[in-house]
Amino acid sequence: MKSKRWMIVLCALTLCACTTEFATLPLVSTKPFGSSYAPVATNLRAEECNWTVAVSGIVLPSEPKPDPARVRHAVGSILQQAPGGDLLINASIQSVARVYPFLVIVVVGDCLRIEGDVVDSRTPLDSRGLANP
Amino acid sequence: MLGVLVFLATGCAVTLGERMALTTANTAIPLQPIGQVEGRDCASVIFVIPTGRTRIDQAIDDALLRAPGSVALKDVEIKRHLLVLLPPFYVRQCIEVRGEAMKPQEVPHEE
Repeated sequence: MKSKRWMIVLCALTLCACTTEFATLPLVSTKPFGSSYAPVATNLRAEECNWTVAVSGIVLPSEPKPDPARVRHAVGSILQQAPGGDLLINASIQSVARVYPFLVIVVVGDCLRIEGDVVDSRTPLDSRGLANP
Repeated sequence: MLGVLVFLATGCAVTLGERMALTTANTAIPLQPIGQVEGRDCASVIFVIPTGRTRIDQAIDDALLRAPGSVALKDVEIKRHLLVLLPPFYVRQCIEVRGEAMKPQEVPHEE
């Protein structure tokens, strides 16, 4: 009974409880198994931004791209930069805020930056580091 | 003045995850499914003091720990949960990762 009362109090005090989808991907890992495949390209980067423009403090309407689309687009664009590669390794995801003030106009960017190296999972490396397709 | 403009243009960056393997393509990595798992990484802000920072890589690690032997997650959904109680006194953010845990495919031994 006491816990129910606490739950009611907790609900009354809650201002926001929301869930947003960040990404949907066919494969993710934090294990270093990706380094046992043939490297295709290193230090590649893609950035996806949602820009907002404010003129004299009035925010102009814009249509932000949802996060799952931004993540997929950024990862896809990195893989496109490395033809033959299909797996991004040593990947980092950063959220970057950008502000460009031009007199009474302020352009604000909410950006998602993804960078990493690309390998080809169809070409595993043997114990000597040689390609073994 | 120039320094401020350069700082604003460069922007401030927050790392959401590092040292991960990601793809949008179908890979040829020989993996076999173990089962559905989920992992999360949470952090709170209490009286404007953050207790940590939520990270995608830590949520993936948490999910992989729940399936011993797994090395990757397939068909992954990453979600962010935000709970704001009595602002600005308590804010809790979590990153939740759900997917099918995958382990390296066993190669049959030749007799």
